[in-house]
Amino acid sequence: MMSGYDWDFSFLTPYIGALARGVCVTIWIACASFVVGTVIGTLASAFLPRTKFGNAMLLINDAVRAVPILVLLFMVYYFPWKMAFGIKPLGPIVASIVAFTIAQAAYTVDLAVGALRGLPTRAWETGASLGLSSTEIWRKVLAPSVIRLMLPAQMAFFIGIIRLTSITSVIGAPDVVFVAQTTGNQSYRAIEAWLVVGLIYILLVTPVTVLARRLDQSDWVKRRW
Amino acid sequence: MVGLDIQGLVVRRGSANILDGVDLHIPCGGTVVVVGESGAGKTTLLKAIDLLISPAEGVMSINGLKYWEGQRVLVRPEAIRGDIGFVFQEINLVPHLTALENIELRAKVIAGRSRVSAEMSDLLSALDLVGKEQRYPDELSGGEAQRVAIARALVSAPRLLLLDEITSALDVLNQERVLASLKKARELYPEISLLAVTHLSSFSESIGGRILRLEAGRLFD
Repeated sequence: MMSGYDWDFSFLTPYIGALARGVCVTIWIACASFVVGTVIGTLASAFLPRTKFGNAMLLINDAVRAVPILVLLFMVYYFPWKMAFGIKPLGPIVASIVAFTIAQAAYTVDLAVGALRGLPTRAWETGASLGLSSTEIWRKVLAPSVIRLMLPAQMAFFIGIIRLTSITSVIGAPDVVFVAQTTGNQSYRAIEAWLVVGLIYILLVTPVTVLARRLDQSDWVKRRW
Repeated sequence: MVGLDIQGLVVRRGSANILDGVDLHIPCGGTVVVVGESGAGKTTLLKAIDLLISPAEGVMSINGLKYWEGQRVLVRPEAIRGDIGFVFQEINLVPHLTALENIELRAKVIAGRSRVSAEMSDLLSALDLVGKEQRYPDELSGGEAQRVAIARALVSAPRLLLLDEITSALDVLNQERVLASLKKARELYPEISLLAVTHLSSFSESIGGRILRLEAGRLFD
């Protein structure tokens, strides 16, 4: 069908360095936001429901989750940081990490609260009857199950984040998509550039998908309350 | 010979008295089996003794140490639970820990490592668990899992062992094996008082001791 098209990937040679840096930016945004968002979300889920305004806070969390990530990205990027907090505007990479961190944290809160509420009463009773303190019950009896309950869904969300980092190019984050756009426009060979970007995403996402599937089917993850 | 002493224990749920002035004394090394219909409050009695639920009235003491009076606990609940072993009706092994890790979880908290090592092999042998130490709960049969739960309850050499319908979910063969293992394990700790609740007459006959009937929130001979 495309036998008449003269495929040529050689124009990408000068951009290999830029593409490699783009891959690093993609991985950095995905990993940093996943780790920080998960930590913030887990801590928030441990405290938010216990506060006086727990239900209201969970409603706010639902509202945050309702905002599309692209909109969240623009909101963070165009937020008047200087006027509000006296700090200089965020660059595209930092703004992307902040936006994805917010999304990840909100998702984690939802997931963790659900996992905690899903634990049977007998899990706590078991820990208490063994003579464990509240902290020990949480650490040795409950938390390992909560992690097992959350991990498959978290992995799926992480895969989503890796793919969604492609939208950070709209605010100028120099990820692989941004590099592909630039090279494609300059060389008039957009399809080759996008094929390479597609391949990069396959290489980034597929190992995580395989790992997530193995994890989901493992005995380790099934050993929970 | 003080053992467990309970006077006027009341547990309320809403406006209903689940336990309505329970008096109970089990001497050191003694056995009491409480029988009663489902919903009579048997599990509630055990959970109240282990402070998993809070009584509304009453006094509880173990080996002379008063730990509950009225509506307040007089010692740290974790400390009193070290003196009480609890085997639940459901298989309540921690699912991500092996059989040995489950037993050690209590042992490390309550008894300290050195004491555990000395008694662990005897305990595992008495409960017919040798060779099954590294299995996870999902790799054990119901009877094996319940024997691990008994080992976990006994490993700290508690003063009181609470058994909540421990054979009701098992087939006849496993019921007999669990009870036989329990008798052997108890020989290692003759000073332990035992309080079991059941609705199975075969269990109460097999385990021996004094039989009480729980009815309308009170205990009767």
